[in-house]
Amino acid sequence: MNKIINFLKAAWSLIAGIGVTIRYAFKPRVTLEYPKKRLTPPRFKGPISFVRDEKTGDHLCISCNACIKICPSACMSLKAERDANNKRILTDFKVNHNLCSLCSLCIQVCPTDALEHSMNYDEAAYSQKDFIHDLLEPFPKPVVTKVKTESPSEPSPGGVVL
Amino acid sequence: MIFPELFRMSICAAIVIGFVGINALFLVWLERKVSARIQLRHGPLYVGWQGTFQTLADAVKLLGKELVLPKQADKFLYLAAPLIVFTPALALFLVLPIGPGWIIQDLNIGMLLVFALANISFLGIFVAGWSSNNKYGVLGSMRAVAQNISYEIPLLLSVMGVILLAGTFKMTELISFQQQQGWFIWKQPLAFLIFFCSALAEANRAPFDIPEAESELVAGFHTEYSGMRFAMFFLGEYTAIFVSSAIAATLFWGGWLGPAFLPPAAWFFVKTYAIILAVIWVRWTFPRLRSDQLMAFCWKILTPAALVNLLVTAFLATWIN
Repeated sequence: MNKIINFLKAAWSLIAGIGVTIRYAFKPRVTLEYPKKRLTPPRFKGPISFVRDEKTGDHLCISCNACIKICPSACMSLKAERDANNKRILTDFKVNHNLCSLCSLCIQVCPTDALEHSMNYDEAAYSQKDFIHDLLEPFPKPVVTKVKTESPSEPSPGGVVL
Repeated sequence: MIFPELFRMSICAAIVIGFVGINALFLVWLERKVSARIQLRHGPLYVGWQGTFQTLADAVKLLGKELVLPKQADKFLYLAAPLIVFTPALALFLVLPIGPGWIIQDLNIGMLLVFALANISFLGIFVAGWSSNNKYGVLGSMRAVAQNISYEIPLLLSVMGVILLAGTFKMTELISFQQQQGWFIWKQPLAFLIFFCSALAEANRAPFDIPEAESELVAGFHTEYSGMRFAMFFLGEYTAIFVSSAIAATLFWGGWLGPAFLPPAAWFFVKTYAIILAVIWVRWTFPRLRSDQLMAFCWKILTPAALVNLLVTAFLATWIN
């Protein structure tokens, strides 16, 4: 008797399986057709970029070198100059994404929250040079009023390569 | 003279070969699309409209592959095996009734020829595995042989019920019997299920595809085949599926019979492709059966069921008459 019940249960499971499959055939597909449609996940960790301040439209970096010292891959470098009021002005900020591991340490340590992950994931390029991002590019060119130069911070050995 | 007959046969042969090629292209595409649908994805999309030329692209790729001949392989058998698998499936087109009077050769033993020819292709599988000089190939072909010869029995027994009721092996008479007395699916539903399962197992397909399962014995009996020879096995398999579905449509679902808004040949193809859709559907629903489960299913479930079906049919046929 048990055998017959098991047999009937098994036969029913076959039909139930067929039912599942036919139901799935009419559900919408979950594939994202990549080049035509893009995903914008809210917390995507893309390449590092500067935050644009809403009020001034400028970046928030004060060239304190905290991110450069904390970077475990030694992939960041900056140059700054002092202007007439002895204030540091950032003139160059490069992040080498050949080496960057997107660990977010620089973002966590920045005192002014000037760094963030961008949402960009179309990063394919033809040469390694294209992966050294200049983060100051979207911002107006810095103007330094006096020529007294601050010594540029040096990347640690084996740092930025070109 | 034999010339008109020879001419007719040549034309039919050309049409059949052309049809088999196009059918294989279409079925591969259909299978990929249907399986994608079931798995909530798209399938081929970009090569031609909705990926219809994808199979052609794959065929071109296969043509460009290097034709390997393993060093210790038995050369004649190795080269002959794909042909042995493919040709009987092609020869089965001889007795398919596509429309009223549209049959290449209406033999008196049409149904018997179907089973005789279906039996030959498993020899090709056996020879393929053996001649590859590859232990995985041999194992795969041994399993394939065991599976194929076992499932021949329920296949034949299930059809015997139909033949018993109709009293003939001739294809056209089977259909005219159904025209007068109703389709056999209503009288022999169990036989249809048994035939369906056995045909799937004969084609090495669906839940019964241990011999060619990609994740099991490397690639089973066709491990050592590449390029166009590999494509021949697949061509043979898809043709076998088409022919089995056509036979099922003829025997159980009335062949080319149907309401008049479609021509009879169209009804034949509609029914055949509906059964092929069911075959594809079954493949992507059920997990694969292990070799011993396969054998147990055949000998402990299908064969007794087919025998019981035959017994009951014979009893009822005698009693009612």
